[in-house]
Amino acid sequence: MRLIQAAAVTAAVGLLTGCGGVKTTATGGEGDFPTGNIQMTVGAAPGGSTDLITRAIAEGVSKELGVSVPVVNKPGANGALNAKELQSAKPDGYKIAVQNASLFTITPLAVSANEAVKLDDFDLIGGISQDDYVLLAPAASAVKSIADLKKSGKNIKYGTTGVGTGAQLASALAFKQAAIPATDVPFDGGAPALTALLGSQIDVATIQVGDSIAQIKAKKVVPLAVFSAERIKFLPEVPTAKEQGYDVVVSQYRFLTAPKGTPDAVKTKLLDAAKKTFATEAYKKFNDDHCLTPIEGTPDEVRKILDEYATKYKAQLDQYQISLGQK
Amino acid sequence: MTERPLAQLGAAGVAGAIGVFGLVGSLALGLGRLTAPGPGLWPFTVSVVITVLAVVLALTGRHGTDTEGFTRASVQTAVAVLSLVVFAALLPLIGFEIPSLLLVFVWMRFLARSAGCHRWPSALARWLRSTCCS
Amino acid sequence: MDFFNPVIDGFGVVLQPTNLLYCLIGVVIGMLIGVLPGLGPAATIAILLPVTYGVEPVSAIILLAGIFYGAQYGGTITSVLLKLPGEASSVVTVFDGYALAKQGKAGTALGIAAIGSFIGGTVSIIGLTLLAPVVADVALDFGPPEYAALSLFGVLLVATVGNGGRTKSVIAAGVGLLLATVGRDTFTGASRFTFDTLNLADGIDFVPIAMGLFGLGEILHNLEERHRTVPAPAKVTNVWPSRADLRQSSGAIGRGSVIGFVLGVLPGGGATLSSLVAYAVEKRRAKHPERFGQGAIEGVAAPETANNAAATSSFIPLLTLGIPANATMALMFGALLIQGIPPGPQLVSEHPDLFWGVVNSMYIGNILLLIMSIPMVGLFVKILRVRPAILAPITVLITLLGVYTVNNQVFDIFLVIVFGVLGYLMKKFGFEPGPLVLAFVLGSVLETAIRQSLLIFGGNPAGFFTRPISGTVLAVLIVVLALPAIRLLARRPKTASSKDEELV
Repeated sequence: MRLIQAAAVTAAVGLLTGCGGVKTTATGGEGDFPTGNIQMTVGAAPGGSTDLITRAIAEGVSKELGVSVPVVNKPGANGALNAKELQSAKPDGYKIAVQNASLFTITPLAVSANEAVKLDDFDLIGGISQDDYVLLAPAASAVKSIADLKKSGKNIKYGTTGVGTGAQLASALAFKQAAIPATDVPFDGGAPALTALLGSQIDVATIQVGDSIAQIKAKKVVPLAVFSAERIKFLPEVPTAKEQGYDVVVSQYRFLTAPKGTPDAVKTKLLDAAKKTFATEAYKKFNDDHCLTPIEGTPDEVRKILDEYATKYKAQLDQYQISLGQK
Repeated sequence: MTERPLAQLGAAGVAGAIGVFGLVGSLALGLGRLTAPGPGLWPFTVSVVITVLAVVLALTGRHGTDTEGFTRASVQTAVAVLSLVVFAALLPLIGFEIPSLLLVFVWMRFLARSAGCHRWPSALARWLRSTCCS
Repeated sequence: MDFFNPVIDGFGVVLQPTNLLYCLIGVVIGMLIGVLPGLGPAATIAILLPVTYGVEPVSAIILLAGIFYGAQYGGTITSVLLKLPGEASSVVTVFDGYALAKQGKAGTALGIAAIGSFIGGTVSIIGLTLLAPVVADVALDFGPPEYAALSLFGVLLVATVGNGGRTKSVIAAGVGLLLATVGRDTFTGASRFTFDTLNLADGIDFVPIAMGLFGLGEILHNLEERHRTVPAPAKVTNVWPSRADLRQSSGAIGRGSVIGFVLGVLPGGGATLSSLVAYAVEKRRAKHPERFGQGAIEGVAAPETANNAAATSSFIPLLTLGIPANATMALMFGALLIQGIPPGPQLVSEHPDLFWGVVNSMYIGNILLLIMSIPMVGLFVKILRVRPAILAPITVLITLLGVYTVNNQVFDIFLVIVFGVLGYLMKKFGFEPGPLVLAFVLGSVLETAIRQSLLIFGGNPAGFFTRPISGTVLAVLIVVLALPAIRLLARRPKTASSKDEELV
């Protein structure tokens, strides 16, 4: 009996240790980076796009650099919690994270200042990919374009993936520019919004392309517009909002970050490993499966993209007097 | 079980305090209108219910017999809670191994004695052995 | 007969030895992670996802699905033995399961849970096989107003499942609803009751609340309890449920299967709601409802059957509409995508072998779970033979570390301690934690649905009553609320005499 007790305790403690809750990372000189595990943190729960992208990259980087790259989820505050932790981590390249552009460009427009994070507090390693939004209507409705919505003359109830997301920003801008009376109905992510749309509980919804491509292909929902600058290859026949006469260009963009002050040699090494991962067939297929458009730019290009987005969004919100949330 | 009117009143008081806290907090958040419900509308509704029921409890529940008094043994619970707080405070500083051992030690040494477990040293030793040797 | 050909072919796929092995591995892993607090099925599947790359699609999904229901049953084990519900859907099981364990009948509780889960799962699979497309269409008619009505119904049921004073139960439920509002408001982005802590910005997680209020609260309470009275060393028996237990639970299992299947289709809290409704139905039907909470075997059978049936029918939206209902489902979605199979409305017609393979693997998984739990129950029940002086600190330690591993935040450990103290104090002052935890789970669904509905209705609450489904649910709700009052008025003269009879 005692033996069983002892064994049970050992097993339990061992398992917990194995699950690697609290772990220390090895550190070494810059020249021979990496000498230990590189931890990639995700500011979201398992299963979301950011999580899946991180895991795909972690797998490739691990192969390239020959060390293991555990992925740790630290969900909270749209990723702000993870960002703040990364910010204060040791800048040695052993802790890196994929982050979302919306956290820096859109969320600050919707939430209070203490939840906002600044891009300048991080070192950029490189760009990853762009995730686009599409405006959808149920197949049963006769609506085929934004103009059709205007013609219907009623107050449009539009579903979005939540407050402070690109989906909310894009829809709000589009309806304001088209002067369509509309009410924002936020959902917690793409899946519930899409479900409500399929049941015609709402008139239209703006959702990430990857989350709705199967339903679009099955003709359960009709795409009205994509909010990218140009048509995307996954939905080549769907016109952009811009083509339809509305200046709405909103995308999610993800990039690789490290704590501020990470040595250049380490960043270069990480970027090289990431680039080699991006070039693999497996990763290209991953992008296609999830309808992600690769934009694997240099840190300067990433910064430029983000700055442009941030400035443009802010200007447009002011111009059309839209508020995404109450600060 | 005995009646403890004071404890019942205390329970009602705490519940009422939570309700009032909720009321104040949600009013500060803004109630909005039904067409555009504000962030405070729902917590406000819930807080009203809590507050009203706290009053009901204070008026009708004084003769309930579902409370337990604090005894000298309650000090043990306080010690236990304190040990947990220390554990959580140490965890990020020195990793989980040492605080875990300390926690188990404190609980076995100080909190379990009265339960008729006089053989804690051997129990602990066995546990340590099995943990470290594996 | 054409319809059944793919079903039978599907069985052929599943019964291949390799696939059986994958199913077994999945169920074992699932049970283990279900027993350990923390690391849930979603995180485990995320970690194991790369392992499935090189595996046949059917095998991969069979493995992952095995983890999913293995974890469900593992959560039941800790709920019964240690009062630690790992998942929201096993909270209800705690009430009578833990009471039974204290009486030395943990084996009975776990056994009936395994049998109930098996039957619930099987009924649900048959339902899924025959009705999936129909059910999926009906589920789409459930919009925010219907969710609002259903979860309101659930929150009010919460007050009736407790044993304490009704007023205190409702107050506890109210506090649960209030706790559910902590965090960023989904509609306006405003931070509510976060005290400017970023850790609270996304609200409070279920795990620290449940682990604190139930598990840690109980342990803290026991610390001084042991002083007062010499613990009656409950004789732990490994006995399986007796024939009488089975007979007593058969109705509960039958009703639980149907309730679970129907409510499980609804994403977001479907499993929790179904366990709650199943429990409330049994309590209401019982001749002696006061047995509930004191170790009524139906009180374990009903929710466990329902939550397993619900876990199975929650696959329907994923398989027919291609929409994942929760994080675990989202990961399965990812697994299918990696295999080059986009789950979507065309899955059944384009990959019938896969669809029916998965469905049939559920049959097999359920059978394996039942077979495995027979020796496992005996093993797990031995945990209770460990002296409390050793079991308590180890349980506490595993709970605290387990909670840490969910989000990797020390803050969550502090939350568990705070809720542990709250659970202890609630017990002292005659409040039950059950209503609080359940209301907390349903609270965010309820608020979100009400506010979405109001936006959709343009601010007119009458909309709730004019829609057929939500109107019906609300009408039932009003009747249920009014019924006890009417009954009380009608029965008043007889109450005294009937009470005497019950005591005999």
